[in-house]
Amino acid sequence: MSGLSSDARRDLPLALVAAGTTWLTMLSWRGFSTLWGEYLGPLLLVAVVVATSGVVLRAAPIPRRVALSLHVLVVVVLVWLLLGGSVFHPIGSAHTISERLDNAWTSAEAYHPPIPDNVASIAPLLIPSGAAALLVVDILACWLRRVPLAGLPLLAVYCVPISVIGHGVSWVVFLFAAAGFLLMMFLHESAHITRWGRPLGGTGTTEDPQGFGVRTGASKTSATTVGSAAVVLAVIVPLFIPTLRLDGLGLFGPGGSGDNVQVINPITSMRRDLHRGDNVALLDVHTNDPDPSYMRIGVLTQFNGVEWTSGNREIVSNQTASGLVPLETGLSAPTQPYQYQVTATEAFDSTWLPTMFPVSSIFAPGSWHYDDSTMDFIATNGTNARGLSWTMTAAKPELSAYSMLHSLTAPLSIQEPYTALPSSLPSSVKALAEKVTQGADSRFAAAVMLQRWFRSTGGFRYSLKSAPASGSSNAALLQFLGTGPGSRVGYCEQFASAYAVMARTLEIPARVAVGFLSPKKVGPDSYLYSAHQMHAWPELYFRGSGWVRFEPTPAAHGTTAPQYTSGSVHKPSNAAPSNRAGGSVPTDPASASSTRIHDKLPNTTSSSSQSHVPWSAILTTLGVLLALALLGLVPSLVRQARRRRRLEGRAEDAWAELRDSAIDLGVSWPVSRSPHETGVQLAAWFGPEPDGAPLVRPPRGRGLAPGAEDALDRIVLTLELVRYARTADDIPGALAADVQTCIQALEWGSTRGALRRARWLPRSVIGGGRKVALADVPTSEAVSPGGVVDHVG
Amino acid sequence: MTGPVSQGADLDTLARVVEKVRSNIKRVIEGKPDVISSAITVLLAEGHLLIEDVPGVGKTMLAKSLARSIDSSVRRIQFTPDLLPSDVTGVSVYNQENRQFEFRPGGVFANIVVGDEINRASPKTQSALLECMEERQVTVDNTTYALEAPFMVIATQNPIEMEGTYALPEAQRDRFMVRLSVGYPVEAAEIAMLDSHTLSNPLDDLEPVTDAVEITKLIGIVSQIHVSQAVQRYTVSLAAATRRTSELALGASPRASLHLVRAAKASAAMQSRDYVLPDDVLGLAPSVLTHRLLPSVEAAMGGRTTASILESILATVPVPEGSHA
Repeated sequence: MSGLSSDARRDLPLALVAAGTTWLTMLSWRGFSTLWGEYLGPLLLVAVVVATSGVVLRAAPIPRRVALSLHVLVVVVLVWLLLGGSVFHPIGSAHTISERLDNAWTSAEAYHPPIPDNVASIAPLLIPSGAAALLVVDILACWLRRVPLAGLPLLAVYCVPISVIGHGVSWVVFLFAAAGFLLMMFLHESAHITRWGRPLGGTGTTEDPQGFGVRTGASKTSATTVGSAAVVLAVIVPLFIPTLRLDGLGLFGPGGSGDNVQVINPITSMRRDLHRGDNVALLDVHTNDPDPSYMRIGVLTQFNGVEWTSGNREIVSNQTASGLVPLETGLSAPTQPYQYQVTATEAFDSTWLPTMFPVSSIFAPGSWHYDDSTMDFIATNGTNARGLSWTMTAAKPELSAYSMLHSLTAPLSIQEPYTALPSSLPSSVKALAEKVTQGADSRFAAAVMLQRWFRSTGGFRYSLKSAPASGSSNAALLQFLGTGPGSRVGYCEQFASAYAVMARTLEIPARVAVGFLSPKKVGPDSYLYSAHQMHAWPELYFRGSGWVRFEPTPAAHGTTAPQYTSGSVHKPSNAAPSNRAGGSVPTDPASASSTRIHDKLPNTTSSSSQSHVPWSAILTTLGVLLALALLGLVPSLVRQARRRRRLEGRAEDAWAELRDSAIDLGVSWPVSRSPHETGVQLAAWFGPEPDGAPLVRPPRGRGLAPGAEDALDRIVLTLELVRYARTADDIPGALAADVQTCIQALEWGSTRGALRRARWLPRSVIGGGRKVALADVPTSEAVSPGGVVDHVG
Repeated sequence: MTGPVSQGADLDTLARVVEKVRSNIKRVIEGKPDVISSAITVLLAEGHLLIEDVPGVGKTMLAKSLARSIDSSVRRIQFTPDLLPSDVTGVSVYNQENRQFEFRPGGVFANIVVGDEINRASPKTQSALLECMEERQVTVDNTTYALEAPFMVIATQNPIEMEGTYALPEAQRDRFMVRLSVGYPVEAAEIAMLDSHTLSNPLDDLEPVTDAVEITKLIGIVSQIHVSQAVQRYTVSLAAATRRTSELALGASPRASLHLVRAAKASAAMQSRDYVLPDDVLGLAPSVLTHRLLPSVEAAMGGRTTASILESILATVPVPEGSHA
């Protein structure tokens, strides 16, 4: 049992680190669901069981295959139990688990991460996946002792959220994962080197002369150096790559510590509220605004082919709802202030704060932070709008169709993300949008024509009941826009979504806002918003006017088209003189085509003039890469220069060259060996000349390269004569051919990896060479007599 | 015997004689070529040999066969507790005929002295022999008698009989150039020994293959072997390392360094080489140094033997390199 326990003790650190690293890497899965504890908690238990059961089974005196099978079985049973299964009723449990998996799959398909908490949990899908990852890492790292390979499943675990959610994960998780993986490598290599190898760059006094046992100090130093360099590079390199951002570090943001948060999709609550049986009151509003409609809860900025989502928001700690806030970016139209006092009822459960758009100031108790790209107010630290009262000053812009008709293309920072569409979007949508807006010579004109098509000319009908359940996915979009039975029927979500998608296909920046349509007036300056007034509408961006609301939902829902999308266009009195006096908003395609209004700058010109290639970053990156490449060549060049010089030298130079060549190829060269003994040992590393391509594991040993052995004998004999005999002929360059013969035989006996290392990272150069020094010989030696007397006496 | 030797011929002669002696001894001592070589090395290096081993492994046989291979005066002294110093050195007796004291040489007056079971004699007697070994002369009644060259003492002792023995103190062990352990023969060699030794005593048939004069000449050749500065430094480094290590209470003496270099010279000559290599020093270090070293109490309690400590030291002291650009 002592052997078992000692095996287990040796094995335990690596197993625990492997499981811990995998679990820490799984922290990147937090974005999958708002209730991430539902799967990360059980997976922590799985990690502990995988590690400990693996250690026990590996140390147990049973055949290895049986032990591995038992290990897998233990994990399968644990996952089975965690998914609600029972060992005693396997058939009933299978049914339960199958049902849970189905529900989880449905949720995963229907919702974009993070999956909201009011739908079936996706934990039944993630727990088995996580358990499988833990098991695979443990098998690779601990059973097969292939720790580097274990990096692949770890990488997969880390990359899954990037591909699914579509954005990066926390750098802290990366740091944990990288550190854990390096620790795994270190533990493995440390044990490996202690058994067989020798440390990199050991000097004569620290190295074990037999070449078998080693002190692990040097290997620890090497591991620390390599690991630290890797982590530092992983953090530094992204700075030079324009596509990667480190804003999460809070180092480059405009002040304050940042924190990326996953936000709950507000469209989900809108669906829920619209489909409520009873029209519960949600917001009580007092305002001097004569038209307090379109109070916004949040905007959806990303369309992934399944639905519109709010995407990730960067919450900056000092951007709070406690005073003046910036108006929306790009708004230059005059605004009219209105005071609002809003009180939410207990039924309004939201982590998004309903506000007018835009607002100039707001006071809301609790922890509300705004995102300056959307001016959404999002709760942190458990704050909720339920029962909350807040005040705000709305700044209603006085938008003019004239300025929008003449607006320039949006800045690249808005144009690109807000016209992004998934590649899976059917091309028919774009074709339809172009067909509907045919003849429009400006983006605003196209937007107005599109709105008109939805509201009147397209034959759409508003219905809450016959709306497709799947919301706004590609399939639902096609059905909604089609002409077949059941098509062109929906409610605000479908209209807003379809409109925004089609606007994006026309290269107009678009997003979907969710909020309240219009309140019920309950008294002078007093209004009530209720659940059935939840609404969604598209917002399109026009430079100078900012995000402009459109209303594609038909009038049957009580909507009216915005004033600026109907009627004639008047040139504002303060507008700059123009050779085009004005125009009219197209009321039909024909009239639209008759207008001579168009964007002053074509899109292409605008894009090229505004897009900026980060030349400095590219040049810096190239410079750094070039410098690194040159730096990487230095050891090889130094080595070649040394070789050339030594081959022209005398016997000692020849011997030094042979020594460095052997060291470069990983052959041990203890300083306590005499030349003769060294020669005997070295001959065992000679390999025969390969017939064809070099072998992966070439044979080596004495007798395989007789010519080289003879050459080696000559070198050793010459060296001995030079060093130890009275006189010797030491002709410069006389041994060059013999040394080259020996080096070639050494190379024939080396693996390709060793040859590459010897060429590019020669140990004799990297390790500072081997400075062999005589042991210090004191001039006078004091012999302590005490011990002798003790023994003799 | 000054100046470099005329290398070729002299070394050939030496190699030939050594080979003859070696073959002669091999007729008696089966399967121990290393032991035989060491014994011849000591002879050529003008040292003295201590053979320490359990009874019956051929200690005395080795000593006698070496002695008989050389046509020279050979004395054997059986050391017993009642052996007197004068039995070793000699004594002056009164001659009534010429009414003068006459010196009667003791057992030590020979070219090769075989001291059997030296640890059975009293320290006083042991001391008398050891003095002769070092000084190669005997002083009795204020008269000094030089011992004839070559002079070699081959002493044997039994390590396991403790009762009634007087183990050689460290200072006296230091005077032996080499301590050998014959060891048990391998199975084949023991069978061969049964075959040859049961018919007759092979020692009786052993004929001398060389003589004292030739051995003296060979000793002269050996003394001319070149020892480079590098090898001298290496030897001193080895000795210094034994003095520095905390595992040894007593390190190698300067006499040990001297013995090591002399033995290395003989070893080099026996391999027809007129210069000493570090390998010669390395190969002889265990047999030349081990019996002079004392492990510290901590090392001894840790199960470390003198041999293993010395092995560690040999493995750490770097072999000197030459200078190169």
